[in-house]
Amino acid sequence: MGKLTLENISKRFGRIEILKDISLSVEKGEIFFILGPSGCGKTTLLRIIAGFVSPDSGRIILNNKEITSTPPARRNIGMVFQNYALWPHLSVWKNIAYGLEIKKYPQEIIKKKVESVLDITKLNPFKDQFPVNLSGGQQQRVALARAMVTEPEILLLDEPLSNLDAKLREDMRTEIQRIQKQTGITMVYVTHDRREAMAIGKRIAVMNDGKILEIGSPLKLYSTPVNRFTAEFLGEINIIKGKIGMVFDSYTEIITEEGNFITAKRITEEQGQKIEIGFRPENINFEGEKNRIGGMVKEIEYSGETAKVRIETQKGSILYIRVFQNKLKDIKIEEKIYFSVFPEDIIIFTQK
Amino acid sequence: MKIKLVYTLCLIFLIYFILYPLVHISISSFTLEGHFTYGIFKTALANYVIRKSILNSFLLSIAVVLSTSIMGIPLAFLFIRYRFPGKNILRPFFFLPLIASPFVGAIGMTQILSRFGSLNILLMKAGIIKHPVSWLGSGFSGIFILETLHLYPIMFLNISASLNNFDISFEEASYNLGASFSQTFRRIIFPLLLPGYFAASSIIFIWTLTDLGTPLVFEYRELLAVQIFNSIKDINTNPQGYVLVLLVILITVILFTLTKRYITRRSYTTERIAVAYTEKHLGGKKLFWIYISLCLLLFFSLLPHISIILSSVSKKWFFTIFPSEYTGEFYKTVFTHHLTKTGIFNSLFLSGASTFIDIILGFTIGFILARTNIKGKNIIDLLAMLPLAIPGIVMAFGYFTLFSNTAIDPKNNPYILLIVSYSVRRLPYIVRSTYSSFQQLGRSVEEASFSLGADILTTFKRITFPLVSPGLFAGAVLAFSFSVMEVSSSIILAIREKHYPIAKVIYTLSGRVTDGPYVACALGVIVMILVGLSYYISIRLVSKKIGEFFRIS
Repeated sequence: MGKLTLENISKRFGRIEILKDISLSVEKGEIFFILGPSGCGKTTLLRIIAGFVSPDSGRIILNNKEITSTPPARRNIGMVFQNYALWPHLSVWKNIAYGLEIKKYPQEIIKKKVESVLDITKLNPFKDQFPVNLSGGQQQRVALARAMVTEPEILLLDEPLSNLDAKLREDMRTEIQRIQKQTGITMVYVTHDRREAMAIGKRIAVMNDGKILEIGSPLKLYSTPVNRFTAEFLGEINIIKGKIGMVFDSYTEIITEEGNFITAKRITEEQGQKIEIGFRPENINFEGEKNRIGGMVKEIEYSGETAKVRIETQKGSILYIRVFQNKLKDIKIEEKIYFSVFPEDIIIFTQK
Repeated sequence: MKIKLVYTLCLIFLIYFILYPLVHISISSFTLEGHFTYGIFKTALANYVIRKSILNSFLLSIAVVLSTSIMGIPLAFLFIRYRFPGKNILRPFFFLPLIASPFVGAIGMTQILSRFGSLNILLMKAGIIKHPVSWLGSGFSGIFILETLHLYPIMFLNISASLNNFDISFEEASYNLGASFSQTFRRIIFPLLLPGYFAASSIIFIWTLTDLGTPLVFEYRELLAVQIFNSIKDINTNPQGYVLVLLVILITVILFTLTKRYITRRSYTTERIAVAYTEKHLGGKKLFWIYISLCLLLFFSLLPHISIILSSVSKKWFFTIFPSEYTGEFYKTVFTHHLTKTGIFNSLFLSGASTFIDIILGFTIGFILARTNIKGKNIIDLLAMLPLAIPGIVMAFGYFTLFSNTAIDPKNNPYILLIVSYSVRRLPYIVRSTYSSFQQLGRSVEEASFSLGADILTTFKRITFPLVSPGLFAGAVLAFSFSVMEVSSSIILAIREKHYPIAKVIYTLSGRVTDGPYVACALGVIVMILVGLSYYISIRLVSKKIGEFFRIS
């Protein structure tokens, strides 16, 4: 089990700045997510941790030891590759045993370790198969087993589920979570799928454009994001532009085209400064008095237990709300509707 | 109904000109005066010279496979795995050896490697050696050098392709588990490269085994190919030649079957995920040494070309490193001398005609394979692909023995057999490129045309043909230049001077004492330019890589 710290990592390829001053630390036994859209630099960051790419500047520290210039073979950091990179000429057993053989373990220990990891990953029936004969999910588990069996300090997972279909993805998600709990291994998990990150992540680093925007628990990032990108990347959100009005002890008034809003927080920024506020479509109610918004229902999109309603306000803004099926009887297309947002559900974006 | 007729015609052609000669050789190897016998085999193998020749040929082929591996594999690694300035400019130069037939190179190289050739003079002047070294020896080492320098690009190309085919993450996964480079190479990279390596080795092995021109120029007789060539003259009284050719057929069949099975069973082509910037950067001192070795390698591999070009313009070249006087008169001779003039005319005519046949036949067969469900498709496919594995010398030998004393007897007029043998040899490439063009095209583009009311003919004329033709013509241009270079069948089938194609003219000239070799070199330079140009054109026509013409898949 290892503790990993990155200090001010930067990397450019030619003129393109891929990573800009990345710092973070991953605690022992933690499952840490790096979440971001494709091209944000997350895979490069992972490859820097693994040692396949060396950073232009910055330090990588594993268990209080700097490993920035240690070659990948001597880092003891496991990696699950996006395409699994299973060696096609070796059987499942041999793929998994490879790392142990390289480390010159005696045969009986190799046998024991491989068998135990085959058990954990439920791969025992397939141990003599070759990778081509395995399904995507099985290949995935072999890749995981191969990376885990040498008991690395850290296990890196590069979009491990992106090649699986939706159903299998959910199964494997639980599977990885189970294996992590069972072994207590430290994991750094890179993905562009917010559901994946929010489902199993304890902490998530949101990345965009080579920078880490914010790090936090799934709940914190979803309900009180500091950054508009984070808010939008983690789920649907309505954004309204405005400026700061009166600032009170326990709340702040925001003046917008859609009327004045009250937040549950005191803002330190100055009066009159332009800001944006947002709220999630599901965080609305029809009973509240504060923060009332009215508009014309334009479209209703059903999706099982809830429905998404598109509303056009008098000023022409488009807002979405999400309501349960049982509330839908009161909502009709081309009819006016009023709803309100609790002050604590208003998210404020002061940053640009 | 019509398609059935076309199919039958193609089938008859293929059976008559591909299968029949092979069957004829096999039967004749075991028949003496109408009776089945192992006698010919026994007599042949009892002959010391033949045993020695077979052994020599094997030694030579294995040696060339090894030497091309030593040159080609590191080169492929360097070009695929590393990034260094000038890489893309340098790369095409390593394909240049392919444009000169090694037997033309041999003529030029004798100037450099002979007892008082450039190399010895250079080394003696530098004080490295006191007495001239016999580089060519009996000719064996000369053949070895020429074949190596000609064939290593094939190794380079195949290994590059294999390296490109598997993802860098296969290697990274190994490093990630703590393996060193040598461990990773031994246990991961090399096993993954094996199919490609085996394919390249087979091509190189068979090429060396069956190359006739180069040993003839070096006058080295104790090789299988030369023994086959010599046996033709008295084949009616001494049928040993059949046995030797059958041996070659068996070796090629075994090697190609193994390769084919190996490749299909272990196709490690993976779905690549673009991992950017996988090439490692080279710089500093390492880069300096890389440049030095690349330049040296390039210099040696282009030495045959350089020597041909120098010979073709040298008026005086004795006991000096470079010619002491230059002249253009050999080029004038090429275009005025009756032998060279007929050679050029014959080659252009024969290659043109064979290319024409290739286009018609190749396109038709490609179409049948890709667009019809006719029964027996597999047979035609197999037959059309067979020449890939059959060396030119086998084909030529088969034609010569089979069609002697018939209406198309090569001793009277070899044109028809030369045209057929040239075209049959290149047919697989045309069939395959047409077939894959059809495949890539998909049916929907044609169906779209039908749905808009066009009939089959209009669709073919306006849609199918324009889309398929670039691939077809690229193949045709290559087929043409390959035919001009075709050595074995030209030497074996053309008996009378007036029927000589270029290859046989060059061979004949090289044996003449006065200015013969120089004129041969001048003609060789012209062929080189022609071949180089045709590569260029066909690569431009389809943005294909040259390597695809030298691979089995």
